[in-house]
Amino acid sequence: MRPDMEEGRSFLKRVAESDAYFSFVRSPVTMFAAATTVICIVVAAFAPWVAPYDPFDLSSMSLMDARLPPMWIEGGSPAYPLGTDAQGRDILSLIIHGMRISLLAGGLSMAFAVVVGVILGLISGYAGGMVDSAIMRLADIQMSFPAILIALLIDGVARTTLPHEVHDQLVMVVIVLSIGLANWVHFARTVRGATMVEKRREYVQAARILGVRPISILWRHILLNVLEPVLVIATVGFGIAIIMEATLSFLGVGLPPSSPSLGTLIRIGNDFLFSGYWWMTIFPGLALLLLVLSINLLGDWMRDVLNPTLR
Amino acid sequence: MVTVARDEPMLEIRGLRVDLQTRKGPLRVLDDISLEVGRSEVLGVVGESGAGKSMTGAAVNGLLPAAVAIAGGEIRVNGRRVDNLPADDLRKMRGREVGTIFQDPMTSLNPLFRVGDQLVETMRAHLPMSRDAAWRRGVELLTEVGIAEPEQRMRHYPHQFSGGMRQRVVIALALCANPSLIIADEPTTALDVSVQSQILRLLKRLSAEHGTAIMLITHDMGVIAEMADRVAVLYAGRIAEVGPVGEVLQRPGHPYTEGLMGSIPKMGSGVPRLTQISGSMPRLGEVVPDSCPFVNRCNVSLAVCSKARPPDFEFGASTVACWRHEAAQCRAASNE
Amino acid sequence: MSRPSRNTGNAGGRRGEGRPIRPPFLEVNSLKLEFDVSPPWVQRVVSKRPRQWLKAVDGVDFYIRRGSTFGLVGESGCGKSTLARLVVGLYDPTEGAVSLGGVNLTGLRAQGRLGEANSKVQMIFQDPYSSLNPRWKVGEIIAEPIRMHGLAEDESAIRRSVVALLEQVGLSGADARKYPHEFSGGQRQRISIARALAGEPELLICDEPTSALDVSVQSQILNLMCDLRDEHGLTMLFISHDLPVIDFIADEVGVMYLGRLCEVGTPEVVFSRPQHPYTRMLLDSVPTFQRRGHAGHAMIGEVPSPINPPSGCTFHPRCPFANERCRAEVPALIRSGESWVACHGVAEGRIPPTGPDQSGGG
Repeated sequence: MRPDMEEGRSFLKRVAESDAYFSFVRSPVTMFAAATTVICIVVAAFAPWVAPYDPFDLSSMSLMDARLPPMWIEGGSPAYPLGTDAQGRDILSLIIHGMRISLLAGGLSMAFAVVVGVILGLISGYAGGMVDSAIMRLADIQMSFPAILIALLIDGVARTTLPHEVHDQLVMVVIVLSIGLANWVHFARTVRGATMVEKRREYVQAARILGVRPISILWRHILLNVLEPVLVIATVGFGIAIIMEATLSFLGVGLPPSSPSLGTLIRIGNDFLFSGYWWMTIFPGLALLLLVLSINLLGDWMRDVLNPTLR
Repeated sequence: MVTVARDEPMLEIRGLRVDLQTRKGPLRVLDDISLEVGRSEVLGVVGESGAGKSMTGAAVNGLLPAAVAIAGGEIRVNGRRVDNLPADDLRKMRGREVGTIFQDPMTSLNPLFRVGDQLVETMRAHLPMSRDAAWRRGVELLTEVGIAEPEQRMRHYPHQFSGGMRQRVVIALALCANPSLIIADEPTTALDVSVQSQILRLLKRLSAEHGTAIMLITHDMGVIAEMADRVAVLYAGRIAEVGPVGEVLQRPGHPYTEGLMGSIPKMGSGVPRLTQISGSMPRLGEVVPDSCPFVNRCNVSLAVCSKARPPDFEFGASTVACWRHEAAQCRAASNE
Repeated sequence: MSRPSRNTGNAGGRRGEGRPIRPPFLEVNSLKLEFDVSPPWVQRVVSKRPRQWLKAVDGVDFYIRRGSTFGLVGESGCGKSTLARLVVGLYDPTEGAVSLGGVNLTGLRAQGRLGEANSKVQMIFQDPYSSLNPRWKVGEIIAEPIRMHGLAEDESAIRRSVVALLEQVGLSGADARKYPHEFSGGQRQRISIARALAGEPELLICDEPTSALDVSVQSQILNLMCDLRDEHGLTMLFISHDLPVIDFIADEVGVMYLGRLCEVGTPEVVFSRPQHPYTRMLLDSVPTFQRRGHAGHAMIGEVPSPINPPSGCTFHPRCPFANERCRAEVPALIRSGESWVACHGVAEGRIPPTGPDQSGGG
């Protein structure tokens, strides 16, 4: 009754015959989302080469070109397809560089959350008892604060304790820490549950009989078997982290205008929205929407394919 | 053993074919299955996992999984065709004419309702009965399946019963609309041996008393030996052998059945080694259509076995799909 | 439970005839394990309920001679799997000890030296799907015991051993590069056996190794295990709920009920002339063609909860021969005929001998 059992064949052939690939090519929305995400990431990674201008190069800026509308509106210039901001910086270039910073902040904070969450989840699920209770109560406390509040709190503390210049340099670290800390609980809970299931499996008992040390059992045996749901949550969480970073930046506690993320761009543009310069905020906003939507659609698809019970 | 009148079977399956739809095309799950079960008769359906025994039961009560569908043949319950019924009629038929007992009693019981209410609801869904009458009948049924203090037990929830008692409740539930046929899919596999024998004896007695036909699906030859009047041995979606249980178990006509019987350890046999069939059953889609599915594991195979599918040959009181019986018999069975 | 509950003298059974009597190899001494199944502290205080203990294994004594196989039978919940896990050290006993070849394993494990204690012990599990790590290649799975116990000098020696082991269990060396999901249930059980043998064990614990398999595959695995046992001189503790399987593979059999052994002896004697009423009922409920139609002594009731087991002999509520003494006093495992039986009725001689009708189906 198991037609899906595969013989050992080449990896590519296995991928091409897998259920995941099948459902991928059958869903145009997922293919679109994947394409958009990949394009965003590639463009952001190669921002200095892809972007038409360097928005941080003061010499290339001219106040003469400030507040130009997009090219298809009268007064716009084909040199600045999406118009310019108040300092004459190209909006398209700003978006490309902003996306780079947003993706970096979102990615790093997710990575931080994954590392903390997975480690605590593994320990909690495997050790049980008092250790488990302690970690899970900590998670409960964490969950009782809204994520934004935690981020604001950490940022606020960092701002008051660190000198201004140091803070500006460390702002990325602060953002990553605060968003990461707000998100580790999901990973910890999921990994804890999966670990509790895995540790009862007989392959773990076989390893215990051999005298394999717990840390080695967790690292070599259990970790790989609990990562699937982590991948799903991390993808959805990636979108959320980007939004959180944008929110913090929009509220002015995030990345400074000197290294603007999409959120910073939206905030700066927002000041000019009622003066009629809508393109300064709408285009970064659309870029953020497209990026996060694509990542979320991709995450939804992964959840359906990898673990339908999470739905 | 075959004292049952065979003129009017309760269940009749003719040339049933069932396909699993995959993205590479259909795979044949059941290939040309023909069976009948008479009144008060217990037909054992036995086979290894993946042989298609559960699918046969699911095809009869219309509970095939989503990707699996009947591709040909017909199924008649009490003379009425049921394989092409619309979903609504199928639902009415289940419970009314065909009762079902699954391996896990909790598949059939709703944990949120009292056992009595579930019995009453099921009865009233199928029979014109007042609540009181249904309740009284429920108490009778629980008594009949051997549950002590039935009046109190009617008010209990499923979790308040032990595993064996739960399976008794499920049997009461399957019997409550007086069905002509009960499909019991591994009814005792989840139970301990001591409880298993109690449940089997109960089923056997009820079948005799109510005239209910039972299709008993199991992997356990011991259960077949104890319970069944006739037995059908399934192999890779086909019937290898059908016949009275004594014939099939003690004088098997198919090399597969013979190997299977030899491979079961027997009490007090004192043998140093068990007979074994090498290899394993072909998986879905691996069976060559024009051959015997057992040919690769068979140690008495003939040249014809890999060239043509064996038709059903008569062998004593059994019917056997094996080319070795062609010579002994000269003519093929007339129903092929 | 009385200490001198030593089982039959001539272990080795049918295959052991003519061999010298060997000293005990695995010794299990008054082993007890209680699980704390109390409700959480707050609930206990609020509803004034006492702590509750589940006696999973309640004073078990037996030994296995080197090279022979001890079969443990019983219904689910009787504690046979827990006993196996106690022997390999997956649980720490509340009381009692396990020793192997004179070495006290329980003591070693208490010092955290599990690997050392288990250097000669391996286990085969029931579920062929969860006993192999799905993310590891078969070669790595089999190599793990070799690495852990340092049984090979270098990688190429490990690879050679893995291939040899795969071939011993009837697979091919090329299978080492595959993942477990590419194999059927029976093949996976062969891989489990190869992994167990890789640790060069002297004692092999088998917890229902064939219960999840189809009968035609079960016979392949049972034959393989017999061959390997003879080839490697393994001592085995074989657990099953299936009496004919135990009859086939074991030299000695112990029948367990609610955490205690109730009858111990050779399968020939225990299964053809059972003395304990529970053993008789168990045998009576094995479905066979020969006994078809005979009502036999139908088993009554089900196994009670081990949390609040019946007083005295725990079998008394289901026993047709129970009297006041059975309800009050726990019977000890004592010598009776060729076997050891824990039953007041048998000791007092008030239980009728088994009739020919119940002789296990011949």
